[in-house]
Amino acid sequence: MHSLQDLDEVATNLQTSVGPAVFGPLASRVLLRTGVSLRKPRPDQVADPVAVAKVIAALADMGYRI
Amino acid sequence: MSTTTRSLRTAARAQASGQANDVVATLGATLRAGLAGGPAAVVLFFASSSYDPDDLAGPLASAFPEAVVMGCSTAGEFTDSVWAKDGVSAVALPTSIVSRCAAALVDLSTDPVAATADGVRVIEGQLGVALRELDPARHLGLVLIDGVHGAEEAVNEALGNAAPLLDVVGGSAGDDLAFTETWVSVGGQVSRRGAALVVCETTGPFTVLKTCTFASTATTLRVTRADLATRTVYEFDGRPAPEAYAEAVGARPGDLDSSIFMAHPLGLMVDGAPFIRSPQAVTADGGIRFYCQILDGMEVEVMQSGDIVSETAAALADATETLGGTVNAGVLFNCILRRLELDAKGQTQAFVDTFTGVPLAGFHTYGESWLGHMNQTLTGVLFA
Repeated sequence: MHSLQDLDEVATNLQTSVGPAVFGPLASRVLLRTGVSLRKPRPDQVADPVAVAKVIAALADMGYRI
Repeated sequence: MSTTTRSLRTAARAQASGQANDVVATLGATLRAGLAGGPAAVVLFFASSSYDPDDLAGPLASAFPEAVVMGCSTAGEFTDSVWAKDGVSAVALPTSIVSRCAAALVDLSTDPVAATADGVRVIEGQLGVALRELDPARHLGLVLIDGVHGAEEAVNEALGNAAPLLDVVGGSAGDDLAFTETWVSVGGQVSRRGAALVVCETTGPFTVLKTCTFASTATTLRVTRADLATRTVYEFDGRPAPEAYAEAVGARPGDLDSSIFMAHPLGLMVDGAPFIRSPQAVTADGGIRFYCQILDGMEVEVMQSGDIVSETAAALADATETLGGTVNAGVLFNCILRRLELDAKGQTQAFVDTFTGVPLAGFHTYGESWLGHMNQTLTGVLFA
């Protein structure tokens, strides 16, 4: 299984999976929980493995496994 | 003093003060009159902490046996015509607006996330469906959370885990600025360290209201050391938090006080809108304690304040337009820090007047909820 390397990849994968209407609310919740933006990732976070892991974990907690 | 409205598809609201038994009688009679013979689905009441909750919760639940009756202690209450600090406000949502609902009282004293998840399961059992399966266009939740034990983030996270697309809006209970003990209730049951949650199916459109008066100064601070348990930030950008914050707002660290904190909270920008994190105090160990969590690594923007009354009026106008021009009911949660500012500026009645014609009730909170926990914000739900 391919592991997601950066936040852009996570965002693209999530958008493809859930569609734009669901992506927005999920991205908001992820930002509030982790401080990591999926809409506009910070340059220092976009490829940070810790940030990526936090986002994937937060999505999993909400029932979205990517 | 009380107010009523008469319409088949309009909420009833009321405010009363005085002895608890008189308050219950007045609220019961006024809300019944406002319901014009129709049944209530949900009755929400918001009470000064001067009342014994057992004198209100059970009697009000008995007065509306057909409805979910939910309440909490406050730091002041209001309706669309009354602003008060020593009484009880209430709103009854008729079955013409809320067709069915289910509620749970959650004990937050041990594990707030697990307890909230348990509460969700209770509600799912009553509704016969998982919350995440509900149509978010026709369902919403209202939540009242203990305001003095710092569990709001956990409650919001658990609710988001259960139903990430469901709007759950609410506020943290208050105790008239004593910051010692708050309470919430469902039916006749009262918890002094709990959360009251109701999930509603609506018969028509509704919209979430979230508004604050703050705009970004474009100055950013990045948290580099924080303690989530105490909601304390110790470092911004690798510097002592009071020093970095003071420089960002143009003050000296020694001058930081509540007036500066109220005028310059921090905002986590989410899709262009700030989720406000309000500083509470400089701590003895060199940090700044906030009224809600700011995570390590989080980047926040320094805010500057505007005018609460005009901002509230504009937000209400937008929400009314979203609902097609008519608002038949509302439940609002207004931050205590906004109340204090309105008090100081003599704008309390002007604030209430922005809601004229919209049957609603609300209270002044120790924090607001929607998607997460926040401060210095007005949240709520308005129903067409």
